[in-house]
Amino acid sequence: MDAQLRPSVDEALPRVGREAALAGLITLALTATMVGLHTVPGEQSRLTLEFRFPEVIMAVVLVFFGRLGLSFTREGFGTYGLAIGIVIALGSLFFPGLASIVQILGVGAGAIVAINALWKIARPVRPDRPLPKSSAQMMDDVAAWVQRKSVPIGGAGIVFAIALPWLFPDRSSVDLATLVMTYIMLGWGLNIIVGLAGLLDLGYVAFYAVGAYSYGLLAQYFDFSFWLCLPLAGILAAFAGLILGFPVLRLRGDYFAIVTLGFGEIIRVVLQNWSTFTGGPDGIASIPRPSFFGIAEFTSAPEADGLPSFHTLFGLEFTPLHRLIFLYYLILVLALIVNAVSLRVRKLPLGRSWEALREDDVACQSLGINRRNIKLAAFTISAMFGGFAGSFFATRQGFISPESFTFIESAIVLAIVVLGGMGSQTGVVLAAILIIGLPELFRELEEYRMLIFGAAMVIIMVWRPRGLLAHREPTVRLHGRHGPKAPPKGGQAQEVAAE
Amino acid sequence: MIEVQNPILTVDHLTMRFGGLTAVDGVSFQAGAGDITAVIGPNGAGKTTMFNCLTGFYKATEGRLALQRNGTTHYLERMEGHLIAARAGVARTFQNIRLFANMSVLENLLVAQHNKLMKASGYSIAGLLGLPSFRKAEQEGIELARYWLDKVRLTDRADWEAGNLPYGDQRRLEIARAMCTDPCLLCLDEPAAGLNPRETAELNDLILSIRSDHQVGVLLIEHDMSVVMKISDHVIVLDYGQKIADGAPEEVRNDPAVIRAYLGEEEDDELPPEVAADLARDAEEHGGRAP
Repeated sequence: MDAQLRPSVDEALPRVGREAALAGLITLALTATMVGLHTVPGEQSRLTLEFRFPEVIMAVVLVFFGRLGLSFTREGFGTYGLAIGIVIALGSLFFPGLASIVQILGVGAGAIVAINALWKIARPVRPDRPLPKSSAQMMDDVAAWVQRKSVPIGGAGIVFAIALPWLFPDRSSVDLATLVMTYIMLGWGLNIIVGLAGLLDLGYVAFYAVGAYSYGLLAQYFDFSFWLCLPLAGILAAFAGLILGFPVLRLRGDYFAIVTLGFGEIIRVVLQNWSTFTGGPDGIASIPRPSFFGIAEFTSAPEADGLPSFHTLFGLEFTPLHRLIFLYYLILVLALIVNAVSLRVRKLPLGRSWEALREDDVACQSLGINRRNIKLAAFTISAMFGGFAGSFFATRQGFISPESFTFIESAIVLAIVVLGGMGSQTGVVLAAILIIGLPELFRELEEYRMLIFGAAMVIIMVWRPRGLLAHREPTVRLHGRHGPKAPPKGGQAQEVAAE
Repeated sequence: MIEVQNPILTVDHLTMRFGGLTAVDGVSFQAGAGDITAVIGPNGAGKTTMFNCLTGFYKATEGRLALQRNGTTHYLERMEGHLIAARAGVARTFQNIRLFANMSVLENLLVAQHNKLMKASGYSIAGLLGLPSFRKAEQEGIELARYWLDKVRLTDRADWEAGNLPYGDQRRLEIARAMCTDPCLLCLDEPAAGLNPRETAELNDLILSIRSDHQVGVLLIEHDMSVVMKISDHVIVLDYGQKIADGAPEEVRNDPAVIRAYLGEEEDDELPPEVAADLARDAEEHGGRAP
């Protein structure tokens, strides 16, 4: 930038200082009661209020200096911003008597300020250079890149997923990976209804429950094995989808969402109250674990139920991890089947008509598309995948009750789909890791982790309202990938058509 | 009503009421196979309502809509919305363009061939297995799409998102999409709205070539008289839901009822005698003085 155009520090200081002071004041107003007032049990088991002065001061100081650093950077004094960022980070690290959570927050905040400043120093705004891209544009580019490179990225992801039990051969890692994979599968299943067909389904957990109870009940009453029940659970859930679908599919938009929400609850309430059949709130206990494709059992004894045990069959040392790893691979394979089917269907006339339905259902009718049928197809296929996931859930837990199928489950799966970017398969994986994996990983942070989780969700929704990796590649191209360049997303072609 | 030689569509006493409002009031007309029939009229005359009845978006209150296709008669007022396009072969475009904005241009044209391709994909089973019969059908679908892309000069932009096209291109793409459903009657709702004169001239050529190359009857709502008068064989004029004129463009152009509907009454009526006498007396009293 030209030296004359650039304001001097003396000019910028009052403005920057005022901003930082204002941010500090707002922080004071916000934290004075929310952080500052703390109830402690006093005498005679009465609660008394205690004022946490140092915490409030720390929050105000942190926000004041953070804002100061960011504002300096924005005004073009990157070095000042960098210095302030480093001071914040070091200060919170070495200031005596700080709680560890404050240290983490301080170092994180300082790092953000410093990185922001470094970015500005590395790429100063100059008239002869293109304007820097906004973060939203950069993320759009990332999303487009991920979509274009989906084959190598997906391949690497699958290789990593397969190698995972060997990389982290401990119970908690495999359990966490299985949990995340279950939600990835549910996310991919729901993505068909929400992401492709554009129907906001708030009751997806109903099909999950139907799948789980199908296996639980068939095993309890008829002693069916898991391998027989898995397809049956899928079929029954698909059937449930079909039956629920008929009355619901005449509705549109918000009404559709509300009714699916209601159906989700109906299923749960039925399971809860039909106690003679489903066991009511007590659920179904001791659901049999899956065998190794019906040829071996995962037991410590060398033989059980006439089947050899897995470790004797393969000449291994017995460890309970074998079954966990087997379950992990099972859900991995199921999830990959869901992914393969939805990727494939997307390129078929059915999948294209789903996307057309999402874009404009009136135009769909004018083209002779039977909207009811394609909606039912979306509902049924998606429900079937939910049913598979449900029966897997039942066999993994060994115990199911209506408690596991509350609305919050639907909300989490929907959050995964929306956060990942509607219709993006890679986005679902990323979002499932963020929403399920991270809170589990940061269990040490205790109550703060939900706070941070909530803040992260808000930030993402403000920053990327269409989801993290929302980018759509055409299902078919006339000219191949290197054909005439399309204009960037959202940018109407500026030329006049009558050239 | 003018009897048409070889009618593809016979509208008989079509009436559409919304509560107390009669938007279309007993309209009867015929549209010839291979003719371009224009429906004109001032704003609010009921043209689009009539289109919506024809294409199944509204259920007509009264009347019969008979469509001839390959020797069978389809009664559109009794058919389910999507079957009107799928079986009877009535395709339409919309006044406010309704493309699948986030899908590519080519995909828009493939969605239009949904029923044909769906059958070829064995209701997705053959498609999932990737059978050669489906691949062949899809290739044919793409070829048909390419034919129409060439025709509306959008081949270069086939892989663009439809929503990113300039306005005139979107209008042409919507017509191409409607034609990909293989219709026998094409209903265009104000296709020239928002086009510049050059684009309008191109649109005329496109509609004429659709009519001549594909034996498709065209029903056209339009305000732009340069389109209506140049290309249509037959013009129907609606006003306040009623048909006020029906005939060849030249006849309609000179029809006093049409001129009145568009330009209003001419003020050539005689004044009532009392008022005339009053005015005359006034003029006498103030005669000679400055007004």
